Amino acid sequence: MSGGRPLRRPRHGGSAGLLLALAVTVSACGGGPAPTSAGDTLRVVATTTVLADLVRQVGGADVTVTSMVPKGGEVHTFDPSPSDLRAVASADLIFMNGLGLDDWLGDAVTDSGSSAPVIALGEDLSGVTYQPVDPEPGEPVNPHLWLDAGYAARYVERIVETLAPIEGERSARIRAGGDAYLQRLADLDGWALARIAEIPEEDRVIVSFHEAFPYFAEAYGLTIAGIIVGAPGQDPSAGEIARLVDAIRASGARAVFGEAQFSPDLARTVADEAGIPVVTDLYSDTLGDPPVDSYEGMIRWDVDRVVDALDG
Amino acid sequence: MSFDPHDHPHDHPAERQLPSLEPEAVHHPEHARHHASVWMSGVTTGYDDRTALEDVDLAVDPGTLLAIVGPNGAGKSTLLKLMAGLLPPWHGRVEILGDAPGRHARRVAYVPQAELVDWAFPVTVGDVVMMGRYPGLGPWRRPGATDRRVVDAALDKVGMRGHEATQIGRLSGGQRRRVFLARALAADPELYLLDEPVTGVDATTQEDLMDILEEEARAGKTVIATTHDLACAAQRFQKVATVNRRIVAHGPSSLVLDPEVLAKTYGGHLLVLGDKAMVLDDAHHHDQPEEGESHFHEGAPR
Amino acid sequence: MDFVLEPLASAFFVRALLAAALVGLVCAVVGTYVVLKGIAFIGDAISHAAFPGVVAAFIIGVPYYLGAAVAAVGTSLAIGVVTRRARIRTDTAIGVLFAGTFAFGVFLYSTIEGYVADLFSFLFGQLLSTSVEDLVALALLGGLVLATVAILWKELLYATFDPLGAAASGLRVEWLEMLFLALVALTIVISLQAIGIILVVAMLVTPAATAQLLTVRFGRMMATGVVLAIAASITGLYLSYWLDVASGATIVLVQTAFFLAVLVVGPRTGWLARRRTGRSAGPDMTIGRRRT
Ligand SMILES: [Zn+2]
Repeated sequence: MSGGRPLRRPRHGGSAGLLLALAVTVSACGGGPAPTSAGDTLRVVATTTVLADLVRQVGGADVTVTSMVPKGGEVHTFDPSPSDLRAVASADLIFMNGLGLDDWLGDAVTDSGSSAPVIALGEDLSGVTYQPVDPEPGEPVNPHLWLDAGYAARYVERIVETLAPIEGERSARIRAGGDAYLQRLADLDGWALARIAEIPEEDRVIVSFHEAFPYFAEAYGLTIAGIIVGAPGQDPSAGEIARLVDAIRASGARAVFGEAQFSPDLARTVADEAGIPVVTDLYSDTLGDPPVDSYEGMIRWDVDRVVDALDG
Repeated sequence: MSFDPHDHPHDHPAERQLPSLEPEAVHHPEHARHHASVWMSGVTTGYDDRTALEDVDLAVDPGTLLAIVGPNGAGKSTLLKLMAGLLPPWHGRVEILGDAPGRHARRVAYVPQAELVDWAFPVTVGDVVMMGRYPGLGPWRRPGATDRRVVDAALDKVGMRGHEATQIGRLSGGQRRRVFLARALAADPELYLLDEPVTGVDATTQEDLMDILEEEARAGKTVIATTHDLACAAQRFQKVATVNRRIVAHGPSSLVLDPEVLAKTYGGHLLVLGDKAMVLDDAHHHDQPEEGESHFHEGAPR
Repeated sequence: MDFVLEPLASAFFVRALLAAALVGLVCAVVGTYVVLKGIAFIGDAISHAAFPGVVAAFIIGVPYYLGAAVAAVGTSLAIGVVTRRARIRTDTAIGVLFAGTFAFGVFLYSTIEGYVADLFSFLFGQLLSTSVEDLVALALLGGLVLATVAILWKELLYATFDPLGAAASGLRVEWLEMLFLALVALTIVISLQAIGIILVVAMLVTPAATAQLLTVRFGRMMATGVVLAIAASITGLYLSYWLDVASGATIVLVQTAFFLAVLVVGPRTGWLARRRTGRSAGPDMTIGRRRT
């Protein structure tokens, strides 16, 4: 049913200007916290479980990473709890995605009185083709870059560049860990591309629940025929569902993909109406239980689910 | 209201019994118990932690036309509710038609004060009178031809035939009391419990309604009504019980003319000037709704 | 006519239409008594009290309507007891209960790690996601409510109109009262999927209140309420289709529009009618029972 949640507006489309400035300051001046002495681990807070895993893969035992949005939680409409603020207050370093995905972090940092540097991993990356959330000009940029493993590598590079200088004598270990992880991501990227290529080209048309997959689709050769909710928390109206179903039929989309952090009901309704299968458990903005407890596991899971659904 | 004890017309009903000099049942509760319509012994009750009636002894024989009088807040309505099984006694025993209150509820008709009725309620005169038949019908069954005949007869009796389709809010005060009496008649009860049945009505209605009640009493039904109208109690009722948290006096209706009884019942509300007594009590101002009645639909039985 | 027929081509729209009409029907029938008893506030309290039940059902993994039913019926019975036994004002007691149960729901909700998105759909409903199973459950439970009302129609009417007279004449008013509150709770539970916790009170109250402005007979009031409710469900759902707006909220807005229209131009109590005839609406214009 439609009927949005009035208390929370969609987070896409905001801008993290101040935080971006901070992040740029950090990387430009090489400032930030003093190098920690051996034995201490760096306390890092990330906004999502996906970002937290990227940091953990790079930093290994030298960092303690926590995610604000819990496993399975919804990042766009997230509301930090007091314990989240406490984590932010005691953090040495904070990673966010930016691009309107997790703008709520700005208030959390202010409210907690934290002075830790905030790095927006998704903003101003070189070698990235940003896509607007809507084809119309002037629309804000879609923040879900990490679902392209190649773009996730850009995140990892920025993580390495942030962690290495402040980790003092451990920086070599950080860089080595980063390089190894980048290699794994490159392998993952190649694997995903090859796996999706198994699907006949005319069948590579999907419907996703929210606008999380444009970079994924672009990277691995899928076409997105439509999305069910324009902004998380704002359900479509009856007319919108009917038009989406028409679009699905016209495009020949083969399956509807719901996401684990959203109610499966709407995805089911749309799929039933269009007469195509539904997959309710893609992972996009959050990790889950094994085997989806890491970024690599998530991409493998999603690619396998897509191939299973479309190559049937 | 005021009245002059020496100035009331002597139109007592012919069958009226001679008043006994002693308030009877009070002194012989056990003797009166077995054939009484209403029997109470040592009853105390109230609302929440507020006592409304204390140590009430009362026995009312079948065929009695009894007025309950007393000042505002004296417990008149409470006494009726006790009899109707709407209020449990805290202490003492109550027997109605020979059993616990509520046991023979279908042989009892209770009419609440007009103030407790939602006159905006979307029911018609016919609907209200038909309600008198509902308890006897039981769930699921719809009223049949017999019920409609009984309702018509009751409406005839109270002079409201032809008003069946009128919404009750459009009736005058007198017509409203007539309709509620018709509902009681339609139930064909043995015991009538009427809260202020003739308060705020015109003289004709009062006469008509009292004629009907008298007729019911003569047919062996027990009629118990609260009233503010001492003149009416003295002239039209057979017996009277005066109440002020306790039963002050119980006996022939002429008791309400006794200055001593009046003084004990009304206390400071009574003004005696020579041989004229005046009750400084607004007869047309009804009892305040009892505490606890005004919540979640007023007067929900507790 | 395309305006009417085009949406009907979608099965989900037809299911939503049936669900909305059915919910409108049951709500209007039960709502007639709710309005006449003047207990709209209790309806709102019961619907909010269903929330912790929904959350708890999610946590222990049973169907949401089981949790909602237990919480709503439990609260309705607690309200029944509180209104009789408590020595504080009833509206105060219900206010405490209502806020407390809802807060408990939010508290429970916040203890769940991870995916909880569809719990919020119960705040506003998910009419468009009505499944065939939902429709069957709706029809069965709604049928149960309607059958109970049909069987106890007279008794409920008498107990609503004159609880003292009804109790004194042998109707078990206290029992009917509890049963009725349980019916209200059940009605709310079956309305959650379609309309959600926040707006269900409007489904209960608005059509019956509008009907009360149009007629002085109980049976007609109920029938009129049902017609208005179903008309509002259908109109609202079509409007939401063509205007691309939230369906539950649109249905409630259509009901509200009906109410305001009748209030202004109604034949009996409308301001225009009164101005024309120069009479005052009198006491029969009052909505619900008087309170002191
Ligand atoms: Zn997202």
